[in-house]
Amino acid sequence: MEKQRKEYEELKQKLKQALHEKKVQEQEWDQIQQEIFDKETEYLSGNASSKYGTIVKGFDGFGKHASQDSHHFQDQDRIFSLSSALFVKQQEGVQDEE
Amino acid sequence: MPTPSAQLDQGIISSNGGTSGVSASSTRFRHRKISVKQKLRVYKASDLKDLDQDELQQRELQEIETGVEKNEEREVHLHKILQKNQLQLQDLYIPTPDASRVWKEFDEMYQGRFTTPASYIQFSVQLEDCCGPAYNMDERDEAYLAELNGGESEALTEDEFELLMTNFESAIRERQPFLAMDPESLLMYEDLKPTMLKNDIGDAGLKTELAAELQLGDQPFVTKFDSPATLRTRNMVELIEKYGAEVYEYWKKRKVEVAGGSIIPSLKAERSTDKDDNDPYFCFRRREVRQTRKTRRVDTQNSQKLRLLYQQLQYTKELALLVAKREKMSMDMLLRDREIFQLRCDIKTVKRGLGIKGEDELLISQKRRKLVSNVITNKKYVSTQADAAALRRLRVAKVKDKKLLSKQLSSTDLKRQQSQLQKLDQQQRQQQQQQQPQINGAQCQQDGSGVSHVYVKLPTSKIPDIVLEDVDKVLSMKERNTKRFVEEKMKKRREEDGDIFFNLTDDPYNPVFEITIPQNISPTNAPFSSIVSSNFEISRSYYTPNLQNCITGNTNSVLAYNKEGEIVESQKYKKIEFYSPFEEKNDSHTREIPVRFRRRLGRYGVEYIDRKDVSRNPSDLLGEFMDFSLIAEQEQSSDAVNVYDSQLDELFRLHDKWKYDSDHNAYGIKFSDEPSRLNQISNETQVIRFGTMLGTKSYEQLREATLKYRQNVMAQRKKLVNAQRQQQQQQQEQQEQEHQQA
Repeated sequence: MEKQRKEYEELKQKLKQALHEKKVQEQEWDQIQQEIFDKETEYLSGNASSKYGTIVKGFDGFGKHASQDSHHFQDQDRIFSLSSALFVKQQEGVQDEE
Repeated sequence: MPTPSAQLDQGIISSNGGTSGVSASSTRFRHRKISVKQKLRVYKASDLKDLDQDELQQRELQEIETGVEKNEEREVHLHKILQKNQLQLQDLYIPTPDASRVWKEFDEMYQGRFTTPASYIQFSVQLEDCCGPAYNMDERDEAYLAELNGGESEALTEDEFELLMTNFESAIRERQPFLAMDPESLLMYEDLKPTMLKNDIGDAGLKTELAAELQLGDQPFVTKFDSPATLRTRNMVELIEKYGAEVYEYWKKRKVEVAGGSIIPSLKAERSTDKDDNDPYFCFRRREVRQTRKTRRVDTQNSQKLRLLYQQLQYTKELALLVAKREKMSMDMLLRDREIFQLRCDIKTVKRGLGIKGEDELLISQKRRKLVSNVITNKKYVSTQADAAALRRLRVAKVKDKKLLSKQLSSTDLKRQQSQLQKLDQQQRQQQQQQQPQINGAQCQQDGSGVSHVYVKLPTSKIPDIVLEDVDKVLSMKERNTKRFVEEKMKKRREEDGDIFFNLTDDPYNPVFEITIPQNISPTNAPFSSIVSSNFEISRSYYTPNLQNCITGNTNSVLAYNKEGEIVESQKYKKIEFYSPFEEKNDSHTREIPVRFRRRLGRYGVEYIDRKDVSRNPSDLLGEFMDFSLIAEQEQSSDAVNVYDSQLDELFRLHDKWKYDSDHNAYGIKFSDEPSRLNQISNETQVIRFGTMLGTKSYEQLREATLKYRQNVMAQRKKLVNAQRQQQQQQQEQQEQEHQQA
């Protein structure tokens, strides 16, 4: 009985630790996703280097002329963020709440 | 024969006079306009025979349109033919390759099964084609490999062999790029080995680098571009140690055969130096294109473009790396989830064994915090969401409308007073106006879903200016739309139901309830004007097939069926029950959620309508707030009590208050608490707008004030100056007068 009790406490400690670590991981994940999202936004909304095209839109006409509407992008273009099923799920959750 | 004198000028003649017909470019004949400024040589008939026969022929020959490109006229055979006289033509021909031989394997190769697709055939080298070893085995390699693997248990696979050969090739290319010049000087195996070990064939180095960047450790991993074959190949170092020397000999043999060239078969292409038009096996001959003029500007432009492209790729790489990191983290999280699950399972068994109750908080997963990054992930999804919301709202509106309509309908049926109708009309209008913001909101959302980036972060400069629309117009339009929608729905529903169903639910399109107003209350101040008095409770309901006839007055008999389908034989259900909230009938089966109303007059004639839940009994609670013994004491004592101190009065007041006041508003938040939502602009935006408005206004005021102040100052100064001038004039006059007097 005493041994069992001890084992129980031990397991509980382990679980606590695991849960804590998971929480940290989740936070890190959120952070990295946010980073991806921000970088992606920056990338897609166009900086100096996207004058001739981006990896999403392609480089058609590279070197011919600078495209004018490079600053418009849609949510579907967010291939990096959307490549995560978890992220998509989260977004849907947000939608649901609204 | 044309007269040469008319065609030729002296320049041509002199140039042709020398080396005629040797160089094609010099024989090119140029037509020139005859100009008065230029001397023309005139040949007389007697001179003609002195002219060089060849020369004349040449000129004539150039006149012939050959139909081939100018530089192809110089092709040896054609040139000869062109130069010869037409009489000798039969001897000369342009040789063609021998096409008489039959290729036996033709039928094997060209089976004619190909059908032309509708679109163009497109081809480009895929990324996958560039991965893996560049060397591809041929039949000889196969034979050799079979021989090599003869008795060994651990055989060298074909993939590994290709890998080794590729490595040999790349190593020799690095060490002896000009081996073809001197094939004899091929390096020995020992010399080549270090280079081979250093080489990165099969993307192994790239992978380790990636793994280091992702902090994967030594975990083996596969990328999407890895073919399954590459997974089974052994390490390069191991391969070299084991098979290097043997394979080297074979490779050397092949290398010598091709005289130091590449043993990987490749298409024959023109090199920059040798240009052989006669070799038909050249693939991709270089076109002679006139070089575009190179300027410094073009150079910088091009290098800038390349730099931008590089930056783009860097960006992409960075993002892809982040994604890879995220995915790795996702994987870790999943593993952790599994671990947690396992632990929980273990704990549960132990806990049950110990019989511990509670302490469950560790065993239940908390809901994951939602990441609020403002993206709509899926346009379609969102639009359905918005649609649903809009629909929900419309449904609410519909319900309200139906209730109103039901009242209206029944009132007409029962020939109520006209004034009441007007009242209802008014009421309807009021309520619809109340609905407007809601419907507007719904519409707005619907519109928003079309523009997909409603929730996407926008730079402030990109927030579009909202065009303000005429409120009346919008309202009327919405009203019309709602009305139409509800009418259509009702019509449809009625059609569906036909005569079979009569709807008695909370949301009927047919009126079954009727509010009767007592005789002594005039409809103008009937207390339901601003209070929803249609929250009904039906204690029992029965199916009555011909209720409609009864309502319209065509029949008086009502048959009621209960839910088992049996006819309810009760006298009570032989007539339609009209519910009146003002008559408390005990045998009524339709009743309002019990509330009581009271109209009271406040100060300055302000009218209040109080609503009160009957179910709540305030006297039970009063004890907590009032000391009844104190009241009794006060009342029993014969002394006159000050009005303000009277406990009994206080009790009355409190009682009254509780009887009719409500702590909370039953229908949404209080009107005054509701943020104003003018033109669907959020409160924050309005604050900003109002703020800026105030700012500009105050600025204008300040400006005005300053201007006024300045004007004032100027005016004062003018006055002052004028005054001074007057003074001076006066002084002068005085002085003059003094002078005159003197």
